Amino acid sequence: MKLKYEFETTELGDEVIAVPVGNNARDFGGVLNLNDSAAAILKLLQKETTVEEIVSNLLEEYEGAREEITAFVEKFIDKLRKEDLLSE
Amino acid sequence: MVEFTAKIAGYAIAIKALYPETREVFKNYLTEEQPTISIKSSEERIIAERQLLREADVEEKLPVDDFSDAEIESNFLYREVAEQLSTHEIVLIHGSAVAVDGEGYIFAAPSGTGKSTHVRLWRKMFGSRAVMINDDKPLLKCSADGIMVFGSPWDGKHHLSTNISVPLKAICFLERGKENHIERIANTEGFLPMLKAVYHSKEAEREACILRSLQHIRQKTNFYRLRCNMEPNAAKVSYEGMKNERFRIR
Repeated sequence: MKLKYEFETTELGDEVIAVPVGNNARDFGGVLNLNDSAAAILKLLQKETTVEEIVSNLLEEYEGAREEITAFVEKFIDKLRKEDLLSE
Repeated sequence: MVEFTAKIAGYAIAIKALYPETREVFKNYLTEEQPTISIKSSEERIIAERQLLREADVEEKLPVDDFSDAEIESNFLYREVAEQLSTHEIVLIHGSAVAVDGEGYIFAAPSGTGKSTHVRLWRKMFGSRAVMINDDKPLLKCSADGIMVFGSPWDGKHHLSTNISVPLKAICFLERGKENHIERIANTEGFLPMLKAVYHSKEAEREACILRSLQHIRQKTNFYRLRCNMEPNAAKVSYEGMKNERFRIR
């Protein structure tokens, strides 16, 4: 799976704001407000990847059990899917 | 081809346009200086620009098909200037910018909210103390000394603009209301509405520059939210709410 859009990000307090770029950016029509772990997932999704790969990447950076992180990743990916932001 | 050099936000830009009317758009910005940026229009670019506007049309209801080719060219040049200047710490903001006593106030809101109407009240209240910087698309430039507001040739339907630059005093997000009320908002709160109001590039590197500039502006600017009606008192309330900020203890 991979994001349909490319994003540039900027920090705002504890949040990360992701702004779409690229030829299809106009179709997106908005920005994403993310916490830093969601932003890390978004970054990984700029390239073709899988849930397992994302989880392994996050395990290197964040403390937490694999199950807990997997659940978080799946929940976030589900949100992205519902917003039609993923191509799979 | 119509060739000329225009100085916009401190940069001399060589422009090659197709239509003589385009030179008129830039008439207050012409310079003899050596250009450091160049932009060339072409029939293909005009066709692409018209198509782009037609797509935007769906949301904003612009009468794109009534626009002359020269008007479309002016729009293409605004987009291209914003693109080119984005890597020079300059962002274009959709808003009405007015200077009072040499300081710039920008009012931003969705089209049709009443930015221009509100600024007209300021001009009535202040007379010659108020100078219209630009009624539609002023430019913000980040520098070591702070943020400067520049006029631009794209000055809205009433063509209100002056080729000047002044330090930015405040950015005010305007909403219509029955009563007049202004409040300062945190600069983290001001960031998203500012993000909504500025020109964005679809090219990643340029957009990264724009986001960096916006962070810079956020850190050095006071943001306000104004709810206002169209009575003259609205201008008094908004000016009083913003002018003395530097003396307030935070």
